Amino acid sequence: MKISFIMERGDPPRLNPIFADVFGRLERAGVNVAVRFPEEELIRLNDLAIDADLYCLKSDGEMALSLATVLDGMGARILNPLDATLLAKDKVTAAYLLLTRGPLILKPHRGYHGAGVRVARSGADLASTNYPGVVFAQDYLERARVDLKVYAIGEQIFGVRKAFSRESFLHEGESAPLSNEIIGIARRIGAIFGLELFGLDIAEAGCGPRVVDVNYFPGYRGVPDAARLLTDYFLRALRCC
Amino acid sequence: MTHAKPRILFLLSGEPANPDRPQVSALTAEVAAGLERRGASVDFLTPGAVEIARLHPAHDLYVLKDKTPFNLSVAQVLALAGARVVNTARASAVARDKVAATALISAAGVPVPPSWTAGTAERFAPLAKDGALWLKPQRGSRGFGVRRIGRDGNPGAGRALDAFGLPLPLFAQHEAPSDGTDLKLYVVGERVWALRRPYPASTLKEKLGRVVTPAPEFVAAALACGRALGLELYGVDFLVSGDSYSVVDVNAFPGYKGAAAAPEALADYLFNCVRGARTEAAEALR
Repeated sequence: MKISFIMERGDPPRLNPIFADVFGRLERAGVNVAVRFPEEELIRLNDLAIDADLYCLKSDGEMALSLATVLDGMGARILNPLDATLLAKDKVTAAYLLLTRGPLILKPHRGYHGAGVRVARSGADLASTNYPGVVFAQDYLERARVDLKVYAIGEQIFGVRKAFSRESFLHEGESAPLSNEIIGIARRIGAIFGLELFGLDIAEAGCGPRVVDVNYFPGYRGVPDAARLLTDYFLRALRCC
Repeated sequence: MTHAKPRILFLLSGEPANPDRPQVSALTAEVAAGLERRGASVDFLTPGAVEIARLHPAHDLYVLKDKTPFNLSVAQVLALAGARVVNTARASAVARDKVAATALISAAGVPVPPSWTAGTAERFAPLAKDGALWLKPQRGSRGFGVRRIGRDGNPGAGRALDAFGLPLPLFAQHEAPSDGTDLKLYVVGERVWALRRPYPASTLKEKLGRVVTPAPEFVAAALACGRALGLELYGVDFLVSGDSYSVVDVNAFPGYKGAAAAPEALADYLFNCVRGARTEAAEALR
């Protein structure tokens, strides 16, 4: 059995220690693990072929998404499914699904890691901002607490609190209990998008929790025993191939 | 309801001087007139500020003519809400992505010049010793950002970044042999027109080319490209040299320049899509 992880190195370059642990666990379980950073490769497009039983798309990069589009077109099995990933990636489609089918609400159009995100307090702020292409706006929840992250590994839902910052996606955070309401929200969002491995950014305002972002295949930093749980999930997925 | 006049909406880009005003090309106007003659009512839209939760299909059919990023997102939302969109947003987006489209049509068995993607331009350097290279943006159109690097030339260094500093893939393709003309096939469903044009075409007369009868292998290759990308209305560019050929571009909803019968065929195809969409909706209600 072979599993191929399509990753991004990030800036600064790094490898999430949880995933380093997952790769070791999978190899000890007898799985052949390939770890690819497409941006660091020269890929010949004429002879791309399916070379793994399962692909894990753990990258927000456009090159990784192009590669996944090809693999999906060839019939490869991808976690998360490509359709689900694309719906979550495009803030417009993600917001539509959350607003119309999701329990609650829901930045640049295909942005990630906070690039291009701004708070506009007046129309004048908007006029001074140059956004080429699509701009995505959502109500700013002024006094909301925005440090709760929810992580899903299939049906298992976890809460992590961490101080929000530009680099918060790099930090560990602390495990936090979740209300049944938030667990229910997470399960419904998984079902609506077709996502199996995802994270939610939750803003807790006076009017209740608000989902402000859906991230496909997050880093799971702060989830207790994340490497073991993810490994078990991948092994189950491989057995279903 | 099923007897009401079918309503069709074209998603267009805005006029350069007046971005909120839909820019209606001669082709779009002709297709719309053809649809109106068949009994449909036609609207044009360049989405401005959209309240996402209120996006809801009010038309029987959406025609994704201009593939701006915003139109693609709006079309995808309309499809999620149950609308029939031609070409689909997904197929239009894949066709715009040279990296994905090239690999998919190659995997479908269509001849494609040797092509590569990389994160940084210096990775292409070893390729130049095998011949001239064309460097193209991942999602370019109309030749923007296209560069030719001669044999043994230097493709440069560095990454391509989007407006927010996030990395974009680079695309390189070896120059395909050409006998000095290119062959363009336009497709509407299963109908195909072929035009021969000087390569590269610069004047309008050259761009119009001349209509030719394509060999069956070109028709088969064009239809294979459409199937591989999920397109219904598209154009396929071939470079031909003697007995060999390769596909160098596939465009969703092209301008159909030079294919005089295309506007009527497009009107027919789209009008039939409305009927299909209505039947599907009626079945869904049952």
